[in-house]
Amino acid sequence: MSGNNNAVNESLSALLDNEHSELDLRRVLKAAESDEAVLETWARYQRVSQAMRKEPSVQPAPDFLSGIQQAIADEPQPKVAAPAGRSWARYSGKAAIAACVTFAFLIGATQWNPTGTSAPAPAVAASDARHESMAVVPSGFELPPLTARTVSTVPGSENAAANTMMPRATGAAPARQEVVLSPELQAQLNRLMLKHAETSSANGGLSVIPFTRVGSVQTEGE
Amino acid sequence: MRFLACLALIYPSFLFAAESSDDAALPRPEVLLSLMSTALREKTYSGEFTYEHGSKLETFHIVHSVEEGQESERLYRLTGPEQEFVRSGIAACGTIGGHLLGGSRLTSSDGQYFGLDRYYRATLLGQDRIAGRYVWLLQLIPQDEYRFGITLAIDAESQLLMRYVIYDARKKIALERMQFVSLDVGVAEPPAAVDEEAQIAVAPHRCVGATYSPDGHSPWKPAWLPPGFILTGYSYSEEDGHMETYTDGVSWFSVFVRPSADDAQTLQGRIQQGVSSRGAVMALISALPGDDETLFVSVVGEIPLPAAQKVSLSIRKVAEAQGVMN
Repeated sequence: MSGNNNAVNESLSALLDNEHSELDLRRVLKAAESDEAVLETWARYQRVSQAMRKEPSVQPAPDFLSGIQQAIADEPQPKVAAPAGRSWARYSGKAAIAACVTFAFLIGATQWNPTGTSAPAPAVAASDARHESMAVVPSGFELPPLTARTVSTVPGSENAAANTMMPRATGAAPARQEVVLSPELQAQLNRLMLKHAETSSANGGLSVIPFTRVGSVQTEGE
Repeated sequence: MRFLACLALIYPSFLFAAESSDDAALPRPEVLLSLMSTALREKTYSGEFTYEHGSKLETFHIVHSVEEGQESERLYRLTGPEQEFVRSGIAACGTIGGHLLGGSRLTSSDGQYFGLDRYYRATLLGQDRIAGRYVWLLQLIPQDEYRFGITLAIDAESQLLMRYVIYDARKKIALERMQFVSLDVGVAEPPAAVDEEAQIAVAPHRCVGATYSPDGHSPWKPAWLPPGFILTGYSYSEEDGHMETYTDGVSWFSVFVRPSADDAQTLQGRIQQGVSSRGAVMALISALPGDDETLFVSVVGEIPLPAAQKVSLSIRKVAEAQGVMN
């Protein structure tokens, strides 16, 4: 272990507290490429910060991490500033699940800054917790704080049911990466949400109100 | 053993209790809920409401009309792509969710009972004014960590639902809010512009009588369910597999199970999961490796993530000969 390790650990802490800079992020990513202990440390820090914030802690399967690393080794290494979102969209639906989870652990809390990078920001569509523009927060309506992260949205994705997927937990905690979904996975999500809304509306007591949650639906003449 | 549940209609007793009390007394929450459940089903109304989730704000127009026993419902999306959900031409009737919301209790054939009052504590918060109408504020406080809480605003005059806020009691955050901005009772007014092409016809209500049993069972069932959730329906499709929907009267979630033989190699024995969410609805998609096949399990609904994870990881195959009681 070199003297750089302390610097990496400090950067990791900053990542978890969401007070990191671009330099911190690059440092962690670089260290993770060559030293798998960094990923383990990150997972450990994550659990600690979860416990401190009294969040429910999700324990992945014991070999989850090694499985991810194996999948990482099999995948081409993405560049931080590159518009990697488009190449990910080519994966099939099933591999997309593996890809989503894989990249989530590798990238950590990547901060995409459309104004700072020369390449166009990748299409990480906004999930509910981080919309880049208007922050409509009515009084008395407690929302998780909007993060400093700015993301661009895929045109027409506004009403697609949640374009992003994260390895676990809800959007409330920072330091969780959103990943662009493949079209197949997005279509599947939309379909599942629609079926669920339809059943809960047909069997429920709130009329057609459950359908408000359904995003863009492809009507195929049913 | 087929699952059979008996519906006990207990709410009429609350109505009589309310009428005999004096003017200064506040309405009982159970009474309000029961009146709301009936009003939503039997009254004709139309109006516009906002739907907020995260920091997104969307608006909708809703029309609900009951004429000569025929119920017709339409939901028009006013922001974003044109979309209209239509349900029409069926008799107005009580659904299982409507009954549970109204205070009825279900007794299953193995003696378990399901009812809103078991896992939610209903309290009256006070009054407010929404869309120019005076409303009663009511809160359903969840009694365990496997469900979300909800606050409702019920119109004092028509007992229609004017607002709901679904919140996560544990994290103390609001997940989504629906609030009317205008409401016309007795009038079924469609919005100004209607696009016929964007119509989506949806399945009719599933009416239940005094006894209720779901119309089928999945060969794959969760060994663990959050307490108080009852199976309301089953269906099968090629693309999403076996689908079962559960409710506790307020929250709903659906479990999709699709076994697949081809992907055993990709996963190599590891469980992989991904979460997505929109408002209070979360979708947890998991790939669970098995001996000779992979199970793709998706849990979609308004429940906290830990509950959804427990459900999805507990999916087991049941023997053909017997059904499973939940």
